[in-house]
Amino acid sequence: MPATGAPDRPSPAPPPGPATGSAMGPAFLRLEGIRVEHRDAGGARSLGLAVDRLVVAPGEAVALTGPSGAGKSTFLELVSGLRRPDAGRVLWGESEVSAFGEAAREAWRRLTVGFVFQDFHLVGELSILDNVLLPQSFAGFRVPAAVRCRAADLIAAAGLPDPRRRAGLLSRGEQQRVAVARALLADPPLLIADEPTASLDPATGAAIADLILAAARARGATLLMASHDPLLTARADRILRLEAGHLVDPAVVNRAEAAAVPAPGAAA
Amino acid sequence: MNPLPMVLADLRALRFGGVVAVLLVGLAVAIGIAVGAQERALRKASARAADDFPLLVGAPGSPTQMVLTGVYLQAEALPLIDGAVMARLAADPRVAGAAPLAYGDIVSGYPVVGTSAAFATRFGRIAPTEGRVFAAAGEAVVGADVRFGLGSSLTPAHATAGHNHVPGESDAEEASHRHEAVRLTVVGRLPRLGSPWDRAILVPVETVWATHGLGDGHAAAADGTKAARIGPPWDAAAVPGVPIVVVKPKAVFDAYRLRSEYRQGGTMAVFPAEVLVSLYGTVGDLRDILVLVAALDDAVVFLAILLLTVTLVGARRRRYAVLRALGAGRVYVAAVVWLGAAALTTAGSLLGLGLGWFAATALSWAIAARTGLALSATIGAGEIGFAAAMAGLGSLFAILPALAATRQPVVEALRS
Repeated sequence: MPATGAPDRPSPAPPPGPATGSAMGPAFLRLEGIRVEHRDAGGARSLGLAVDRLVVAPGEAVALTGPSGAGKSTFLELVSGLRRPDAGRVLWGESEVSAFGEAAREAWRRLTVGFVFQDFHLVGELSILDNVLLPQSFAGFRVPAAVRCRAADLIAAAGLPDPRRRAGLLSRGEQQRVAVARALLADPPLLIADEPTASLDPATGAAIADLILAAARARGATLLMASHDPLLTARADRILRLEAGHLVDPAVVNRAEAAAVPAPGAAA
Repeated sequence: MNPLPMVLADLRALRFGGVVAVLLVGLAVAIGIAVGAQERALRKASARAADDFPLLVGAPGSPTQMVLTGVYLQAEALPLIDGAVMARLAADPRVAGAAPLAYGDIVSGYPVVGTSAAFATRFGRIAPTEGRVFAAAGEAVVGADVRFGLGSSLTPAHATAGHNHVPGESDAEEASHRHEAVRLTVVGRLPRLGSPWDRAILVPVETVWATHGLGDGHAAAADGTKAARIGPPWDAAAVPGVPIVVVKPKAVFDAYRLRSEYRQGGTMAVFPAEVLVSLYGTVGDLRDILVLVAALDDAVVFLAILLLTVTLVGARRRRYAVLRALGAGRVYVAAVVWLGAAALTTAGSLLGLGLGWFAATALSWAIAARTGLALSATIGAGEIGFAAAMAGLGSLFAILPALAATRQPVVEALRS
């Protein structure tokens, strides 16, 4: 298993053999020659993100920090396949996600990525259970009994009360717990959290941070989180700081790369 | 893919907005439904009421007015034809029955119709539910809805042209025109016919003539004495003018022969069914226009709903962007929006079917109260088709917000 049990330490172990990874399994995440440009309303272009090389090992917990507008969201959108780069490649294991068509990216995202948002984004009219099961309805018509059981287990593990309660009636902390359970339903190897504690009070934020980090570690899932919350970022294996679209401390980046990664394309 | 949980969540999020939208569509669709159902009910009831009037013969004039007055008892003074015509018709071998219809009097707003005992039983088709048919001058048999019991003694009054006499109500106008010397005795009651005749008081035509000082249509015997008898045969020389003669020909062939014979020489002969067909044509055109207007009206309401939905899609773009981020495809989001909007218009159309039926029934009741024509509004294939067409139109319109939802950029919506 590439995931490591040791907390709070840059930990990626060298992968066993080539960095393979199916859509479903843990895999190396690589960004190569990435450039993303934003266009404002007038059509003027500005740099959104520029990453020459970045490798995230399977099971690694990475925090992205930086002022707002520095490219954190763009980074997460890129890695989750919501956005395609203007140049460069995003690879998940052997899969070049940035080259996928839209339908393929959606399917890949459904199976690979678990999303936790700053504002939870639950469907307030649905119950806790139905919110957690919602991504299941994107592909299949019926929810298998096993998945339903798993959802109930995740809800219990997230410390939530009655799964039949309407999500809109929950406290903010409870809503984020539901969102975490929703992100974990498909057992994704890549968890992406965008400011997961920013709209919570410190105590609740810490509890959510525990929940997310524990869930990622227990599954050996790679965790990427954009956050300003020092309590959260301090617990990551690695902190990447973005400023004006660039990674500030390439040394940090390269240290992990040097430790962990075969040359891109070496497996081919 | 199973968009239903999300569709239900979206509809629940609308709360009263959704209820109002369904109600709005329901009311709009109901108009078209009610017009269709009402028109058919009117056609059926009026055709049924005309069943016992195969051929009407009267003085030249408006065939429509003759049918309205003869069959539906619309108070209107018709020109008279020579009584000899009636006597001749009654004696014609091609005629199974010929009866005069003489109007002009009322009792408590109920029209008094002078005719023969044979026509009182619709040439034998019906029998009184109570008592018997009149057998002598001064006797009356009443329609099912007339409020006078057997044995009642009635004084007819001359109906005033242009005055709205309400059946069952005696007013000052009527009281001032009473034929004080005349007494009618109710001897029988007819079964319900579902026509204005349920509110009529039928008397021997001789009584109507006598009330107006016109004799009784029977010649005196050679010795100068007169037997007080009623009904045919009448003596051509003694019969005063009559406005309408109802003729029941023996065969279809005879009916056409009679009509062509009595279309000339100072008389007019019409098949009420034929007049109704042309009336129905006009009413049908009117209905088509009303239904078309209703459909356009529905389209306007649907456009309003469409606008509402497009606005909603805009307001919910984050909600849908989250679905996309969680792995839902464009088709899923489109299905959620389309099903939601289509559910609103379809539910509205179904509600409209019910409301339309209700409105048509209420209208039928009002028309029945006014005219005595018993209408029963039913929802037929036409109405179901109309509602289905409206539901289809709404669902077609709903494609637009669904497409709009798929075109919203996910990343921008997530950040907004």
